[in-house]
Order: sequence, then structure tokens, then C-alpha cells
Amino acid sequence: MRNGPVDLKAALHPVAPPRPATRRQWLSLSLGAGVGLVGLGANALARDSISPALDLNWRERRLQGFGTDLSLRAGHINGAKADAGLDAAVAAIRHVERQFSLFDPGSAVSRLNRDGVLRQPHPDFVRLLAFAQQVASKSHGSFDLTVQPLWLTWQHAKAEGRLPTRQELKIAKSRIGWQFLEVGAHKISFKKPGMALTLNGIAQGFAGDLAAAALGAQGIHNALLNTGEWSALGQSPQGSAWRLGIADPREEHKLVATLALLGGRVAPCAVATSSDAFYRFGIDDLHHHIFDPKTGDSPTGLASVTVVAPNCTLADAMTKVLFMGDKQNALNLAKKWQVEVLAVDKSGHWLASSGLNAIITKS
Amino acid sequence: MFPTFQPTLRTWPPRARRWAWLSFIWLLAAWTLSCPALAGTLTRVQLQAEFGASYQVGERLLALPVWPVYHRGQTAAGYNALHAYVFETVDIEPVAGYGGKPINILVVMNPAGKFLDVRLLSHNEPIFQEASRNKLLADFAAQYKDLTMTHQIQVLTPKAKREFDDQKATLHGVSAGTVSAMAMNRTIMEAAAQVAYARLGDAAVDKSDTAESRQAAAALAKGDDDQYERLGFNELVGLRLAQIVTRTNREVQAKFNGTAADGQDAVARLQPARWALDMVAMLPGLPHVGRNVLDAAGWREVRALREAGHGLVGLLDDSRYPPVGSLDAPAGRAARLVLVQNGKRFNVKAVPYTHGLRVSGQHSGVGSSAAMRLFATEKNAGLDLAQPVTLEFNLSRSAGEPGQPRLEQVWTHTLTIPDAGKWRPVRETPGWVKIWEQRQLDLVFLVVGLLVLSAALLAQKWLAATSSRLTTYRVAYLIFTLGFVGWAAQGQLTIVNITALAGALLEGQSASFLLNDPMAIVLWAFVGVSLLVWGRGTFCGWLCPFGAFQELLSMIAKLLRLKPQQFHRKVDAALKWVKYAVLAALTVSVAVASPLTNTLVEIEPFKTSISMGFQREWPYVVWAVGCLVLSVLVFRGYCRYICPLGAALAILGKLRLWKWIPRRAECGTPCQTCRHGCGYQAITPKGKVDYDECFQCLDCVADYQDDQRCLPLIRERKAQPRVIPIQPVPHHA
Repeated sequence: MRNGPVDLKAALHPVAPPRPATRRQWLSLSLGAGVGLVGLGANALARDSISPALDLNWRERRLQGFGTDLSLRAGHINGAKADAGLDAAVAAIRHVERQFSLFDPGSAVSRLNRDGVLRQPHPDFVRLLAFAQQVASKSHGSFDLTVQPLWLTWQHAKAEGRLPTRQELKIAKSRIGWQFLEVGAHKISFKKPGMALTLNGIAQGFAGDLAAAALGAQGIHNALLNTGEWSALGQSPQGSAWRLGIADPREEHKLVATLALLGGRVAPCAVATSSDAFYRFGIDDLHHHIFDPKTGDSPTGLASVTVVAPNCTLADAMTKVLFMGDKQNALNLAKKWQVEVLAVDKSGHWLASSGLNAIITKS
Repeated sequence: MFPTFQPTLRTWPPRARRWAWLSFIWLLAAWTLSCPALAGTLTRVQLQAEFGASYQVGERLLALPVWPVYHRGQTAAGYNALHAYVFETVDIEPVAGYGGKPINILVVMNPAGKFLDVRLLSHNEPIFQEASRNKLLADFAAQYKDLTMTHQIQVLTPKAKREFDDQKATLHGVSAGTVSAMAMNRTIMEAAAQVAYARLGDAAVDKSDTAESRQAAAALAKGDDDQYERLGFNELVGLRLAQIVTRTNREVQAKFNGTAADGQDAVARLQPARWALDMVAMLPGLPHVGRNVLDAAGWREVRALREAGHGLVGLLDDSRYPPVGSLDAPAGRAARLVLVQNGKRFNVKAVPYTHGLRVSGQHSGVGSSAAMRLFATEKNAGLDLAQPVTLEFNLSRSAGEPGQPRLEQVWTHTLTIPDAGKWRPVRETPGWVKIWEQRQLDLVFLVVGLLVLSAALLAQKWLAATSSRLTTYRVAYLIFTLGFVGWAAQGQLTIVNITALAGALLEGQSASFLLNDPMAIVLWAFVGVSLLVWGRGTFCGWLCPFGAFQELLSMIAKLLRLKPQQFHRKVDAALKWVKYAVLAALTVSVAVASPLTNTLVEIEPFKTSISMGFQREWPYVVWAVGCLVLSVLVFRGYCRYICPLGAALAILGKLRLWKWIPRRAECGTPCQTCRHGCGYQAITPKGKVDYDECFQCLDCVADYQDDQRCLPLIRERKAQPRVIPIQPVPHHA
């Protein structure tokens, strides 16, 4: 069937609702998905008391953050209100970047990594770490924010054109462990020397949740946010569910499936993806940016994991938890965590949980 | 010299003290009222309006005032793909123009570093304010469209044609705006480099370089780069700057014949004619090599390593025996590299090279599978790039059985570069040095002219001994001042020099833009000294081209029997304050960074009449011609009553150390000859010289020694007894 892994990360993009049309027309429709298109009878999917879609004024923002291109779209009866909401959402994303950027030597996480301790951390930092520690505990360490020493070791070896030695990996592994990260309201600290934190596995999701909250505070309940992961609130400009297209890895402009996402008035619907194609240490897909904290190397079973969850932080974290193991294992774990998953193995075969199957349209 | 007339060292009169205080207060006011530095003004919403509906302007980048611009929807580049970055140069790399303030340019640059649009936004260049002149600057900026941030740019004459290829571009300059053009070039290219560098840094997750070396590279990148000349790969090989090193499998096998590793390279036996070693050796630290072979980021890194004291060898390698560092212990086939120079051995370490090549590609002559391998000596090991370096390749094979030592055979290649010395790194000459070199001839003329003037003024007794000598010299010199200093060499000093400097200093910007105008620098230096010696008169009376223009005109008028009018002493005294009022208004305007400054300085007709030869819009021409007509009616009317530069110099002239105009007890009481002869009305009825108003015409100095005009001398002459000289008569026999 398929030869390569499905690169969902790069391939998810919003599309207009399907209607009888050739594929080419469909794609050209997706160009104008932000404005101009009217509802196409997908109202059957609408629930609760969502205001009629046609009354909304939609606004869009794009920005660069977390090393990629992001986009935010929001609708409100009052266009100025939508603009104000998006301003607040952008500010929330910038706030997350400033806290968690490993590039910025002055960010909170850089200071923690340098000093081994961070006093009077921002409440958001504490909140996120507390959540991450819960996931780490419940997943028995499959998810671990302290894997940064592994990243540095692999990075160093890559710069020298090789893979890390067993000895180097042993040293790196001795420096990780979520149990040795102490999180308090007034102090975050490492209990072992040489430890370092990376929020890169969760910061995008967290930014999505903060941005969604910022919109909610402005009374905006219909939005689609791409903060590196996706959050869908309410309904699309067409008054239907939000649709994300999944691109075919073999043909750039071809979609293999679409996900229909309808966010609740309170809880959004969030989609996060992790993929082995995003960043690799070798020429093949064996060693990449997702680490199994137990082996110090990348998990070998899967190529890509997409998780749908009620919040984006959870969705983002779960992609890492579900990456450790095979497709079936991912589905079993997803049930336990009450999230939906689509897992693609290295040979390109995919399996989706029942809840996700329900919102997938195959092309 | 000075003591010709026994000058007396001045004491500071109370009036001067008052002026000193006033100047101090002005400066203080200027300082407190000064605005913060100029900043970009465009907002995302305004930019969005510029880009239209096909594009969406994103949010400002976190680290820099730069906005990403995206396509809307599907394009060849993908769905909602990144189109470009847009920024104002003043936000990234402000460069002061002739007006001392940064020229602000909008740049739209795509992610590959190509300029999609370059547009002049605002500037303070004094002679480019009106629309037709402003267009010259805008046209200059527009030339950058379709160039890239890596183009080598040369600005030629205003009439030159714009031409460019992949690497080089020649642009037309701006008439009477060399300094402005240079400033625009710098602000565009350096801002673009910084934006590209920041973006690279952001995306360069896999860049191995440490923060330290990146900082070093960034610091270096800001300075002047090394000079080089664009050379293709084949030219580099022709000049022996790149040397091809090859050995066949057969040759290598021969080295191992009969050793324990004899049979360890089956391919060598099967394909004896193929290359075992196939590489191009070079010294990438040499700018002609590095800048031609490596891409911009690669060159930055190599240059940073070189500046840190590392000796560098680069091998574009496609070998079966890959080169490795001196101390590496490869498991299989490899070529361990050691450098030897003058018998000294240098161990090298492999430096991962993660950037691209400039010579790759189909027609470059470099194999597509060749990779740049970089080797560096220890810091300050003392490898001399200008001397032959021997590359010692220790070809190693395993000896067959595990656990046995590897066997090595040595091949050497000596990199001897003909005329190696001439390729040594030389910094690119800063722009202002180029300008000084271009103006060499003008500067020589000017300095000679100033020496001739100084000599004459120091020997004023001789110069003013006869009034015909003085007149001849003066007319000749004024013609020199107007013709050469003013029109030919564009050396009209102006109040703009001062307002620009003050503006730059108040905003905490560098005053280095002044260096771009060598004529002004030399003239100001001379004026500075002459202020101490003679006061304002030296400049106003001798070196101001517009002053010379007026005076020559009134001389011609005199020949036509047109006599200038003189105001009554009291009216004259009152009018002389007008110029101080003009100066005060200008000072306040500069201090509060008012946009009015540029209009106010137009009170000077210098630009119109001298810099631009009346090629200007009519209101300016009317004003300039009006000033000239005024000077025919009222001698030097503009200079004496209106000129803010004259006012400023009069204040600075308070620092004058000598009273160099000779006076007698009889001056003023009773004699009024000089006072009546003084066209500038700079001598009081009491016979005192008002140096603030003295233009150093030396008329009174001539009168002083003229026993036909100077009353005391006439008296002295008349008081002598009239006797008929008796001459001895030769005695005839």
C-alpha cells in the first residue's frame, strides 16, 4: 500500500466542507475557506446554541512561532471584538514562547536549565509543569520533560556526523527522570546535576489552550487555532464542523482524509500530531526528535501519531505517550486516557480509534 | 607672523561671558527636549493595506521588528505559504545620511534573500526635500528590487546603467547625493543581512555552532568583510588557489603491496584506474577562496574561526579514503590528515561544515557528491597561509585480523600558491575612505588654497600694503572660493552641517556620517583654527562661496556705478540681531526634533545657488536670487543680517585669542576714516572693531598703513619739516 510514513504534522490544513465536486475544485475551494463561502448544509452537525454562522465576522492572523508558521482564525458578531480576541491570543502565544524558548537565553526554561533552579516562576509555568508531571506519572515515564540531555547528546553527535555512542547515551540517560524535577509554586528545581528541561513536546499545545482561553474571555466561541497543534472552537464560517485535511505523503496536493472537528462551547476540540519526519538525526526515520526516555533512543514502532482530545495540552502530550509502542498499543492506551488517536506505522498503515473513525472522511 | 601688529591677548569681555552662558542654556534645553531615536512607523494594518488581498501580513516577529507575509490560499509554494519578510531598515540597521538622520526604507525580502520590493519611506536629506529631488532617492532605492542580499553592489555615477548578474550589481548613483546613496546602500544591505541571519538562527535547530561562535560570527558580520573578487571554480584552480589532489587505486594499492593490509581493499584491485583520493584542496581562510567557494553563512563561520587564530584547510572531498583529523583513529579506510610547514607538524581537527557551497551546481566543475570537509589547527598554532603547506595524508587500512594495528602509508601534497602574499585577507575599505580617495585632487587644491590664504592673512601688513595688491588678491581669491570651493568641489559649509551633527548627537547616533564629506571636514577644521586666530571673518569673508558670490556681484555693480546703500548705524545694529533670532529658531527646532528644521534651513540660499546651480523649483530660486539682488542694494545684506551660519560663527568667534586689527589712539577720536570705509559697518564711532561683524576684508588694515588716507599718518607726514634735501655735488676738478 503505502511506502512512506504519513507526515501529518506538515500535512494537516484546514479545508472547506466537501460538496459534490472534483478534487481540483475542492482544493480551490479550500483557498477561500476563511471568508466568502456560505454554509453548505452541514448544520446537522451543529449542536448547543451556537449562533448562526452567517452573522459572524471572521478575522485571521498569521505569525511565526515555535519555529514554524502559525495561524489563528476567529469569528464574532462584532468584527472589532474578533480582532481584540485575536490580539489577546497572539499575546498568549508570545507569552508561552518567552517562557519556554530554548533559543532565548533569558527565557524561564533557559534560566532553569542553566541554574538548576528557578525561583518565583510564572504561575502558567507551574501549572503546565504540574500537569506534565501528572502525565509522566500516569504514563510511567513515557512522557518526560527532562529528556533534554538526550536531545543535546544526539545533537552533538549529529554535528560530528555520527550517532551517539552507548557510553554517551548512558551518561545522558543518567541525567533524566521526571521524579527528579521538583515543582512548587515558588520554586522549580532539579534534584540531580546535569538535568535539563524541554517544553518543546507540550508548549505548542499549551499555547493553543491559552490562546483559546484568551478568545473565550472576549466572548469568542468560534475559532480555529494553529499553534503548531490545532484547536477548534465552535463551528467554521460555513456553520459546519471545522475540517482538517490530511495530505497524502506521495502526492503533495492530494488529501487522503479529512477530520471534522466541532468544538463545544466550553471545551474546544484539539488535534495534535507527532511524526518521525519532522526532525531526524540520521538519513533514515529510525532516530528522530521523539525519545523513549527508557532507551535513550527513538521508539521504533510508529511513524506518526495524531491525537484528538478536549484540550490541546493533553493532545500534545498524548502524542508522545502513544508513540511508545505499536498501533494497537496506541489505541488501547488512548481508551485508557479517554482520547482519540490515529496511529501510522513505519510501513504507512494506519489505525484509528472508533471515536476518530467517526469524524474521518476518507477521500 | 601674528605679532606683526603686536596683538594683545584678549581678555573675555562681560558680553562674551553672557554669550557663553546663553549657548550653554541653549544646549541644555536642546538636550532635555530631545526626542528618542527615530523608529519605524508602519503597523501591521498599514502593511496589510499595502499588500492587498492576495497576501496576509502576519504578526511582528518575536525577536525583531519584522513582519512575515503569507500568500492566501494555494500557490505553487504550498497552501498559505510564506511569501516574504517585510521590515523598515531604520528598525534594524539605521544609517545616518547627509542630514545626520537615518534614511528609512521599506524592504520586502523573500525567504531566499531576494528583494521583492524596496521603497524609500522617509529621509531627512537636506537637498532632497522637494518632490523632484526626492524622486532621485526613491529611484535609487527602487534599483534594489530583484537583487539579493548576497549581491556585491557597486554604486556608479548618476548616469550609469543598472546592471546585474547572479553575484554582482552596478547601480546608478544619485546626483549631488553620493553620501545619501552610500547610506541607503548600507542600511538596505546590512538590515537585510541581519534579518536573514536572525531567521537562519531561528530555523537552524540543527546548526552545531555554539552560542559563542555565533555571537562571534555575528559580531564579525557587522564589521567590514574581507575584500575579494568574484572567481569561478575553474579560475580558482587556474590560480592554484584550489588544487586538485588525486591518486588512483593502483597507486594506493602499490603502497600496500606485500604488507599485512595488502588484500584489505578489494575494490582497489578490481578498479585500479578509479580514484582512491579525489579531492580539491584549498585554504578557505583566504577570502578569495572562502568567499567564492562557501556560501555566506559558511564563510562567516570560517572567517570567525580564522579570526580566532585557527589555521584552516578545506577539502572538497569525493574520495574512497575519506580524510579525517590527525588524532582520529578510524576503523577502516581513511586518510588521516596532518599539516606540515617548514618542518613543523600541525595536528588538525575535523570541524563539521554544515553550510552550503557557492560553487556547487552543474557548471561549477565540482562533483555533486563532493562534500566540504574542514580541518582546523589549534588556536594560534602559527600556520602561515602565505607559505607552502604540505598536506600529509596517512592512508590507513585495517590489517585484516581484528585487534591488529592499522597500517598507514603516507602520501603528501604540497599546497604552494603562486604569489601567496597577495591573497592575504584585507578588510574591505570602509565607504568613507573610498570617498576621500575619490576626492583626492579636490582636497589637494583646497589645502593649497587654504595655505595660500593663511600665508596672506598672516602677512596682512604686506598684503594690505597697497590697496591695488589687496584688491587683486581679494578678487582672485573670491573667484577661487566661488568657482572651485563652491561650484566645482561642492564645499559650501552650511548650517545644515551643524544642525545635522547636533541632531545626531542629541539622538545618540554616531557622527561618523560627517566623514563622508571630506571637503566639509577639511574646511571645518580650518575654520575651527581660524575662529581662534581671527574670528568668524576668515570664513565669512574669504571661504564662503555664497559670500564670495555676493561680493563679486557688488563689485560688478560698482563698475556699473550702482552704489550699495548703508543703513543708519542704529538700524544696522538692530538688523544684525535678526540673524541670531534665525539661529535661535533653528536651534529650538533641532532641539525638539521638529520636522520644521528641514524647511527652516532653507533660509540659506546656499543649496540653491551653489550646490544645485539654481536648478530648483522657483520659490527657492526666487529666494536665492533675491538674496543676491539684496547684496547689490545693501552690501552683503544676507551675510550681515540673515545668515544663521554667520550668527553661529560669530558666537563661536568669541573664542578668538587675538585682537589682530591694528588701532591707534586717534582711531575714533577724532579719525573716522576706517569706520566710513568699512562696508560691514563693523567699526564703532569710538573706533573699536566689532569682531563679531568683521569679515576680515583688511580694508581698514590697508587704511591704517596708507599715509594718504590714515589721518594720524597724514598728520605725521605733514608735521615733518619741509626741507629741500641738499645733495652733495661731486667735485669737479
